[in-house]
Amino acid sequence: MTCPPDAMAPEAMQAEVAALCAQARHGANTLYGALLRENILGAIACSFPEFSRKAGEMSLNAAVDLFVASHPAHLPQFHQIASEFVLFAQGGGVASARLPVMEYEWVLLDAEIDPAAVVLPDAGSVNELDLTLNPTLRLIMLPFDVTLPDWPALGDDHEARPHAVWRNAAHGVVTRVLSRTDCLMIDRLRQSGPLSCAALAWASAPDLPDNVPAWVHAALADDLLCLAHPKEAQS
Amino acid sequence: MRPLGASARGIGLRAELVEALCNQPRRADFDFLEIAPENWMGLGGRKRDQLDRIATLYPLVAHGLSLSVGDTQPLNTEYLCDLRHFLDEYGIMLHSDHLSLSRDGTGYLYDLLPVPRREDNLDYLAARIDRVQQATGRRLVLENISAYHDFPGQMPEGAFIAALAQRSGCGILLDINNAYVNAHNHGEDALDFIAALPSDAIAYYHIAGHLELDDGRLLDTHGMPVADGVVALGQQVWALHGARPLLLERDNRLPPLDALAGELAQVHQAMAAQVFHDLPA
Repeated sequence: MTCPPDAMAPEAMQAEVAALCAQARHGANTLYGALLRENILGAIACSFPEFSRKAGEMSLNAAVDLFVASHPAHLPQFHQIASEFVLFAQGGGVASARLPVMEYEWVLLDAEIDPAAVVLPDAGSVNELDLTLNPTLRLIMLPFDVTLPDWPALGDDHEARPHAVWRNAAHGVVTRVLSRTDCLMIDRLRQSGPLSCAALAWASAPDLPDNVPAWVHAALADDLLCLAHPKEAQS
Repeated sequence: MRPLGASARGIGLRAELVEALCNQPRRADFDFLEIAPENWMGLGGRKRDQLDRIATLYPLVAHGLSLSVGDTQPLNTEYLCDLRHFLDEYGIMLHSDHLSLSRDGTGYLYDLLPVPRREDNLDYLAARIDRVQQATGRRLVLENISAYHDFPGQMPEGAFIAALAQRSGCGILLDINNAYVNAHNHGEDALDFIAALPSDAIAYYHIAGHLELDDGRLLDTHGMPVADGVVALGQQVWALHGARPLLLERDNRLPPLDALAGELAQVHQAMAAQVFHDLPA
């Protein structure tokens, strides 16, 4: 959209607005300061429940206070508070040990609302159609075990493990710990774009002793992979 | 979308209500739904499907939170572009937001702060409203917010909003609860504010509940039933400016849908009944 440049606000208005906003940002005890912090805390608790629980009230309040005082949020929507808080945390606003939990919860949300459609083709079989990665797929390394309650940290002798998160055709959000085979197959498809099953098997043959069609079958069953008509996949 | 009738009644579409609304036939106890466009713009998945379904059942009006028309930064054209796309997609003609600011030189603040009501600021604000209207292709309707800060020496709120509507051609969303809360908190007469507004610019009404703080101030929480005093003020609004679509706002401590619709019917009936009561025999 092309717009002419904005007019400048009158100087007195600029000064009054800046002073009121500064009061809200830095005055946690003022009414607007308190309301702002309450809004942010509510959004964080709703978007990142596990992170909020693990961080504890005091540390969360301190992080929110710093966020309100200093974070240059550029996304206007209130529901983007979560995205802005992740940026703030990644910039050092939250203890680094807690960051992966927040990032994972954000990825879950992000996959859930991804505008891409996860559609099943009306007709056609795996032999006639191309394989594509689910358009909502996100990959993330996690140093904790999401399959157990409270997501306990992996021991010191364990490295973070790769996970895939995606939304299936029924709108459920799925998380899977990735095996070496999963990683290789996903990597192939990310590099190549849509491929027929035969082409994927051929491209994977040097590295993968596993049965590619069986892997494809399982990945299609849980919508990690989608099918598309070759023309559609190329467009 | 067909324009709403003057006696139309609506509720806000909260996440908690979505499932129930999707799984029922169209209800007869309200006529339209108000949505915060920011909560739906650019979303896919279940939420998108649910909104598509709801849009087939009810007329939608959009009530934004993020415009920040009263700040002193350049307008967010990316947001306006996304907004127009969304409004066009769902055929939403009535677009409202707040006469407020949510941003300073650092960034967004995620709350609605008041604009200094000065004669000198009117041209600046009217020009911004005009740009918003051009960008969205619709008249912008602005709501009077509840304000917890007084800039010294301001114009009366009614006169300021009336002047802004006259200069910019914007509509007014008269929030009756906010008028009540402001009058109480700032020691003013809510009727002075209401009487100063031009009837023909008022597009619709909001009504809501508030909370009384320990220090006696009122806070616009949308978390309580509508207070009797606010309903009484609503009756005076209706008598003065006439019937308009009425929207019951409830964002916190949400009752079940039936109870919410029941409260809406009760408030609407009370406001309308007063007008009929006042009519000459």
